[in-house]
Amino acid sequence: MNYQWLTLWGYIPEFIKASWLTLQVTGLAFALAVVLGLLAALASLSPLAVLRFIARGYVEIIRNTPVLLQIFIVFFSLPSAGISLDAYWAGVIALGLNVGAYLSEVFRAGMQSVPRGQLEAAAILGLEPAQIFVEVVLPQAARAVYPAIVNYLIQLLLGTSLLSAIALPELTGTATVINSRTLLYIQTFTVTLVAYLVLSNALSWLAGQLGARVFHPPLIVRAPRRLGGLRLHRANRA
Amino acid sequence: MQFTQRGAQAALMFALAALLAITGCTKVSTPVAGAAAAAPSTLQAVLQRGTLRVGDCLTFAPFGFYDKNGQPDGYDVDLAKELAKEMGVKLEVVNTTSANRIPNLQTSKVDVVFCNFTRNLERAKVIDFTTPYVVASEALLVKKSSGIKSVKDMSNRTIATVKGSTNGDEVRALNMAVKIQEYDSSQAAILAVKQGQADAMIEDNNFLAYQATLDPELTVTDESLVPLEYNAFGVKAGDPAWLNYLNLFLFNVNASKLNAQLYKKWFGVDPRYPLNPQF
Repeated sequence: MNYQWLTLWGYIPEFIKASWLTLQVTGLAFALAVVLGLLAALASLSPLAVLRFIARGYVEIIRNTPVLLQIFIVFFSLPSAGISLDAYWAGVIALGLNVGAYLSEVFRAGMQSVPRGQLEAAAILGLEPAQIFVEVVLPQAARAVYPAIVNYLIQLLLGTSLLSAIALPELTGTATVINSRTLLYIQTFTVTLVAYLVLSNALSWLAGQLGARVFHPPLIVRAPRRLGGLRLHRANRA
Repeated sequence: MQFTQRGAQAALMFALAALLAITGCTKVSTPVAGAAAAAPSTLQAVLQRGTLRVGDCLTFAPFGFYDKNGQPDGYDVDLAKELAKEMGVKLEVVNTTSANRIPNLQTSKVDVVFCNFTRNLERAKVIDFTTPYVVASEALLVKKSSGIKSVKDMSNRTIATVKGSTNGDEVRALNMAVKIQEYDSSQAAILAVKQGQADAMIEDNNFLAYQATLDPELTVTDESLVPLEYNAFGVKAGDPAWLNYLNLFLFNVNASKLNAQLYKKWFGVDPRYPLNPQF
């Protein structure tokens, strides 16, 4: 290739480091989001009005405000309240809180999709409420919402680019810095675009493998390979 | 399903092909190509259009900011108004960030960028610079309570800079054990210092002195971290007619002392360092 692409070759270690940071933040934020989402979904289905109110408030506040503002509040405003988080943890918490609110609605829908008759049957068979939830509701709900959850995972991966605004050197932020050092805009953004494509497709593929192994019968979230080569299927397109 | 998959693959191939085509084009049209000289000058384009589009950093008070009525104002904006007045055209101020100054010029979204633009040879490979209009050095903005007196107190602390400015590289060149945070705007970097997310911010001393007057908690270290920077306007490469025009404009505002008056109006003091060449 020409010298411009060769110049960028020297920055590949930085791109790899940034990709790894992007993956870390995505993973941690997603773990937090799943936990928060489950708790909020359970709370919103709880017989206790106060729990329903808290869950509702959480979901409505998060879903009706911009995620960039939420990131700024966690990073720039919480220090005034004595909570000082560095960009890494502020990013994990802000994105985890955000995606958790969306996931809670998905989880709630999944739980409600289990027919009431099954719950009544399970109760008549003498199962405890906790048993009913773990053995009857959860497996079916998880299967129903799995593709949607994977979709949120990919969105979260792409959403980490917003953390460049709080100076976290993730993929997009690093690309901007390399841009200003090399002034090779097209080349830098092309490499960044390819890096995101590799990361998101790798995550989708892993999620597909996991779905095929964990669920019985296997949950096939991707179309079978027909032509070989690159596949761009979103995980939720069954 | 099969059809969708083929469609997606075709789309991907098309996208990659388009990308290669774009990169291919840029190679041909690099500014060094002599063909650029045949293109009409920005000077003619501005006069014909009747509007001068100036890229100003409007998160960089007092160089550029939005006033209470949402109108662009500041030192750079005043100079832009003067330039538009001299040319007899209307002024359109385009808000620009440090990082997108050069792309804005290369894609002709603006005719000229002011923005306290630091000249260096790396940038001069892709754009052209006028003669300088303001001189600066770099210093640190810190909280008074931090006790930081100079950059020597910064080891193992965090320093905030702005993406696309020269400051990040200057900090790296100091070869000190400091952590660097690169924000999108100067305002975000200042906020990081105020909120304790960073211990100091490195920036142009003119800019920082003004910011420190706005917040009694903040102060600027009395040092000159880099050789003096003679900051200029940036224009798209390969347009000598436009560059000459702007250089003459700068010569005139410097010779008439209008530039020094505007500096005093916005920074409250006479320019700390003299322009070179002098007028």
